[in-house]
Amino acid sequence: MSSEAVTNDSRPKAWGKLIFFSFLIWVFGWIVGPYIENNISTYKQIAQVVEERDIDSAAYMYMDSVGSYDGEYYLSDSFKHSKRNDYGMTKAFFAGILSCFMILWFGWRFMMN
Amino acid sequence: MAEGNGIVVDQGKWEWSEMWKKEDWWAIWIGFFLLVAAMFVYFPHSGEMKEIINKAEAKYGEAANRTSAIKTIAWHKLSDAKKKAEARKVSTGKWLSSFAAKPHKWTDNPMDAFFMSKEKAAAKADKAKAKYAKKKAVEDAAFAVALASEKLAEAAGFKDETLNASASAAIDKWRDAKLAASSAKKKTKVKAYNQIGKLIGLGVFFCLLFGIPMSIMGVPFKKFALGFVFVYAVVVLAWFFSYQSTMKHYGIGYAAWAIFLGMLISNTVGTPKWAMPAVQTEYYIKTGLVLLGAKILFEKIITIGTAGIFVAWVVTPTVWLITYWFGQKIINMPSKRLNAVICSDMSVCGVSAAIAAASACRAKKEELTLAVGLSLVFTAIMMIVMPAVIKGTFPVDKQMILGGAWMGGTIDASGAVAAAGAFLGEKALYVAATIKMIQNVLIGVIAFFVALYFTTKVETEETGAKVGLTEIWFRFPKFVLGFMAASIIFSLIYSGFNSELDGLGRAMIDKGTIKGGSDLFRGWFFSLSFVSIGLATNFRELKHHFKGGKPLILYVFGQSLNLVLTLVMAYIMFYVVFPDLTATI
Repeated sequence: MSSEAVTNDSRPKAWGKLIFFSFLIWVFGWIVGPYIENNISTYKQIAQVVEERDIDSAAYMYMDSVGSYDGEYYLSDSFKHSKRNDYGMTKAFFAGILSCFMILWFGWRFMMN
Repeated sequence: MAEGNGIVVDQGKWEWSEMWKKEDWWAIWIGFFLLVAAMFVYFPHSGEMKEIINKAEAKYGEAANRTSAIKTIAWHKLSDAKKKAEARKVSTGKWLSSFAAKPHKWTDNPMDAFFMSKEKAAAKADKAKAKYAKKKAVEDAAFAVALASEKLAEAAGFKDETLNASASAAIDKWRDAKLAASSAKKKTKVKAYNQIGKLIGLGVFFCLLFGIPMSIMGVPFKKFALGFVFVYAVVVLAWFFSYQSTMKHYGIGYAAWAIFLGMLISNTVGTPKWAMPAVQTEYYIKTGLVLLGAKILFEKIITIGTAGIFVAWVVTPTVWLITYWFGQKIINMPSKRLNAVICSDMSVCGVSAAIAAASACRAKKEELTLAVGLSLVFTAIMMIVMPAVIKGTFPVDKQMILGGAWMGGTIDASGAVAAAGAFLGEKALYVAATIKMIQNVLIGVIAFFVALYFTTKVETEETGAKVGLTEIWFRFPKFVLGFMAASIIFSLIYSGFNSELDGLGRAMIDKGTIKGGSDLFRGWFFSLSFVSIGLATNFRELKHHFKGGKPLILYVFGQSLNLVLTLVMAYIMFYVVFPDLTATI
């Protein structure tokens, strides 16, 4: 089998390495990982929360996480319900957005040359 | 094409044929094809969604709005009933979701990832039913207390602050119990499954989706298809490992596994030559990014008000710029691209920001791998340390909001933010996840900024050529335009639905076109790209980029600055400038 190997190892050595690293995955997933989880109390509690709430703790984007949707609903409905006039498209809110673009412009002009 | 330092820079004239000869454009076409298809599936169901929302309003609206002093039981019931409006729950949506599903979660038996018999499913459901019964009893008891407390507060016209506070506390307890019961209830609905046939079908679909454009771009379909079988098999393996329960607890997701497995193969037995036509990192990543654009909805930045926008949108670019400057001027990072990618993943939102920034500045695959690796390691550490620090050192009344905002603004990955937030409590989870969501929206701004900076400044330095408007257009990564276009179009549609009926945007876009359409494929596309990165990465090259530990120093400096600035800004905004608004949460 021709392959794009980036090392000069012989075939048996290369396969040996592959098997060895696969073994390390098994050691971590089934021995070391659970051991650490069971012996660090914060980890144990977080793992319990993750299981109970069915949280995808490996999610990379907000849409992949249950909490984001619920949080968004809860917060926006809470603010609307309180009928406050300092929530929404206020001047302060736009000042925040404008500050973001001003900071980027400042960086572009003076820090990134 | 000119190549300098291994970075490919386009130079030449614009030709219309680029639109079907370049992967940037194909990423846009494929991305929009999937988005439009999803709109065709879900948009005809807007009437049904309106009906659900209107029914909820009719049933609970009046009772929910009888006071704004506290969030009553009826207010929560209205919110729950409106949440049931989800376009993706129509029959086609359910089929699509099942077709594009990843391997299932498993603990000890690897077969559980792909197959579960009826008997085993029934046994699991029975076990879950016993747990659910206990949690339901707790929920019912909490509800009775909440109802009694609310009645007392109502008898005083919701004007007695002590009674209001007591009712709110009882209602919050009922909500926590209800949440636990709901999660337990979901587990009672375990059904038998066989994922193998669907995974094969999905692979064939992806092969056609990417293979046909590849043949138009000049790669024979047969060669691509043969290679794709290998790449897709590694992708399935990466998902399989990421769904093992210990790995999930540690937050080791598909990106880490995809890069690791790809590198393991390429640096030991080698990537088969026949697989190389399907090792197309940029192609898959850009298509995924166009789909990602559709979920960057601008209206969401308002969710947590002005305090949130200052925490997420003012601190983030500040940290990005100072860290970039630190990398260039103080520690002399040899690669501006690696510097930019690390700044993005550390200050914005981890892997997804790293992908967007790396594509926007045309970073090397090793640079993206390194940045993602750093982010994943620090995410796993911060997910554990931060909630422990908050619990141990923050005043109790500030743990939820201040702690949540601090974690949301600093922990890179959304899933880890949710897990760490949930550890502290419901409100911390909501605040943390929402701050992270607002930061996610910033990906588009940062990607555009990075693309513009590298096109007009860095590449000009590298090539020595003057840059006119035509040249900027020619060099500018076109998929960024697709990403921005998707974001703007879907933001407008989302706001349009919401202005028609409050909550319709969520039902049709969030929980329809995106969750039931683009999201089903985006993760697969990113995993295809990460496997491709791994399969083409030389470990020695990676070590070369890490020389002197500069990337680590850069990350640690940036993250430390991020931790300090986010905490200070969150405190000022939530407790000094907007304390009344914070009290509403």
